[in-house]
Amino acid sequence: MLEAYGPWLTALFILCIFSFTYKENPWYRFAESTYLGTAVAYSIGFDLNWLLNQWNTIWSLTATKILMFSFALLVGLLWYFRFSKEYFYLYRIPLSIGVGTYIGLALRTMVFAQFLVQIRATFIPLVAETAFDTLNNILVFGMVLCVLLYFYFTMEHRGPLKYTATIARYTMMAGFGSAYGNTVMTRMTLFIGQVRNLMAHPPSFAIFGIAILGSLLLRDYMFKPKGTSVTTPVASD
Amino acid sequence: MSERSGEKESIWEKIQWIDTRILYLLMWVVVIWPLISPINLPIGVGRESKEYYDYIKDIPAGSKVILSYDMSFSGLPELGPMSIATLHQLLGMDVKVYICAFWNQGSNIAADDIEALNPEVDYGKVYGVDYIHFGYNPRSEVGMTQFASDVYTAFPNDFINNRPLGTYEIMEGVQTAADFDVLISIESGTPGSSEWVRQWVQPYGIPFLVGALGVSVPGVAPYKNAGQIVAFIAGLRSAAEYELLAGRPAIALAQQDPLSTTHILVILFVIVGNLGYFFTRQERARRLG
Amino acid sequence: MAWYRRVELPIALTIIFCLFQMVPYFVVIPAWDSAAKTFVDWDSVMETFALFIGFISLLMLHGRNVSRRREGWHWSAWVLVTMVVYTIIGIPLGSFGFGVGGALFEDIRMFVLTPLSAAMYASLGFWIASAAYRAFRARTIEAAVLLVSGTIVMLANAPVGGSIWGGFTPLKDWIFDVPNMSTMRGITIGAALGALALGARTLMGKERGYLRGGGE
Repeated sequence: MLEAYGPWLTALFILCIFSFTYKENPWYRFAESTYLGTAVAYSIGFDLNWLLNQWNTIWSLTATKILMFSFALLVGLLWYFRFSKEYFYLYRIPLSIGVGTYIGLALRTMVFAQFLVQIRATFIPLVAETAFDTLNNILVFGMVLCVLLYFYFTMEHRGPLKYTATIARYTMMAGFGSAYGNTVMTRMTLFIGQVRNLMAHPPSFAIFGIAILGSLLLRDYMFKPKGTSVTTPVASD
Repeated sequence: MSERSGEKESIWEKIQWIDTRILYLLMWVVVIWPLISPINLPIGVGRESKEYYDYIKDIPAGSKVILSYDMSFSGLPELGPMSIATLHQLLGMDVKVYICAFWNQGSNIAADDIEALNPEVDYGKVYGVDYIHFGYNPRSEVGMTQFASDVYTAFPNDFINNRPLGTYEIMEGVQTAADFDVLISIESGTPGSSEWVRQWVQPYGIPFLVGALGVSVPGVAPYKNAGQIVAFIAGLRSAAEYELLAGRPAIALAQQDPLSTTHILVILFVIVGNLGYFFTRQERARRLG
Repeated sequence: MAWYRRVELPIALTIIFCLFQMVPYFVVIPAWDSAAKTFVDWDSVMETFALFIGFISLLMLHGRNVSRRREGWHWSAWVLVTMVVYTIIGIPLGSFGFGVGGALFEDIRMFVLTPLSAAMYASLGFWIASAAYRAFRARTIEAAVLLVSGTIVMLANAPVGGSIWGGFTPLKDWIFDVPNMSTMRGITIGAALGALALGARTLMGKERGYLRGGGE
């Protein structure tokens, strides 16, 4: 239905979002409002579809399951008492069932997956086949211990803890530097992807680019305070 | 004149307080220029991409492989090339591919990938026999647990034809997580690798591969080191290397030149920003005497 | 206060359903295990019925803006229009061509939601560039270590780095294997300890933050 206008809509919305880099403006507010409305509705559509499939394929087959589904619906409707001050206590019922179930499912394996297995993986043989690997194993063992001790706040970091905290800080700075480098790659990739989308259809890129930037510059020129130029850095800088 | 000290601004102070929009304009230039006039720098293949490609290549014939699209549209520039290249490699092998999603946008992205690759024509595969798209489960980690204990309750119908899963030939002998051989997740965030490790890898010991955003690299490291993740690729660079290995050069490779120029620009920004900081600090100290 | 209004009831429910899922993982009781799995299926359906909470919240917030003609109320009106229209298009009514997989739903997804979603996150590229220029200062040795490490990783990620010097990639691999892995392992173990403590507090009924609200 919208295929003919597809590239134009894509370019319009991308440029509206990017116009925020000039300054806050109505083009950006239009795109932001559209995004908010459609994102919420998109999730609702998928959830409704999943519920309908659950009913049709699983829960409508036997009397027991129909009863269970009806009970789920009744308890599920209690979620909406979140918006009532007087009956807010009813909202807590499905919430507590959901939270309890989630905590039970997550914690029962977290003990192993994120705790015991990780500790076991730290206690590796310090002496390896090569000198470089031996050095790395010693460093990993020492660094993990230091980082764990860094987050131990029951005792003040004095004496030996002061040295482990220093080692931990340098370790974490090197680690966070790696995170920063990879974050730059991700953010730049996302931007490059959008520029490629714009350049895939040059007419829409050119026309909307000129229209949006031109309207922003014109608005600034027409409404600029006396004694300033349109390129004066804005307060948000 | 410096607004701060009343004295004439030095060049470093002017550089420090440059209009940010000029920085943004420079970003546009360094991205558009290599797209118009490619530099074509060579790229090598890194350790992680090779491990990921080799692991998939060595999956035995007849294996059942889950490919989970735990991603959103916002991650498409980095994850899109990974997901389509992974699906391309899997469809070129004698394995059964079970596609699912725990992010609603992921199910649409998976459908787009299937349409783009055209498995029936280009790979000789049949939907429902060689590959299937389960669709989306909205329950995150609880949904993954549900999937592990019973596929049919987690995903009642398939996404493409909206038919009950049990009506497809590919589902014979498939009931729980124990019936699958490999799990691959292409992911944007949560739910993602931590949840899969807790609900699938830890209880069932299933080999787990990850394709993730560059920002997720630090988080993947402890799982990879502990062997809970057997292979991973993260970021556009790994995606480009994997495209080369999988024999499907596409978007990720095309974006390597602007990746180089933007990275050089950011490094220059850091250097110039720091030089400006140090020199203005010296001048301020000199003024104060 | 009536017993059903007291906070002890939801706390008891949390503990019961938490143990209901945890115990069969450690103690082999087939009937309990089967019941727990069936309960997860039921719970998934029950929780999905909360799908309209976001819709109603936005309706109330933006509806208030529109009715009181607050500043920017016309943008709130647009949010409501797009949300209601796209929700109606997403209702599974195959005979009207609505629902997930319907032509109009897909077109709006492809030409409106996808570019908006992607561009929203792509704009972060601008902020990280301006932060690199304005904020990342090597004021201390630790900050310098962070910047050097970040620069090495950036040069290893970009093909131009490989053209400048082949040593960036092995350095990046070392940073990933040693300091980065050590940092994240320490944080993962610490986070797991924190989650276990939080779970223990919840099981003891001492953690009540998730029950707050409703003017109490």
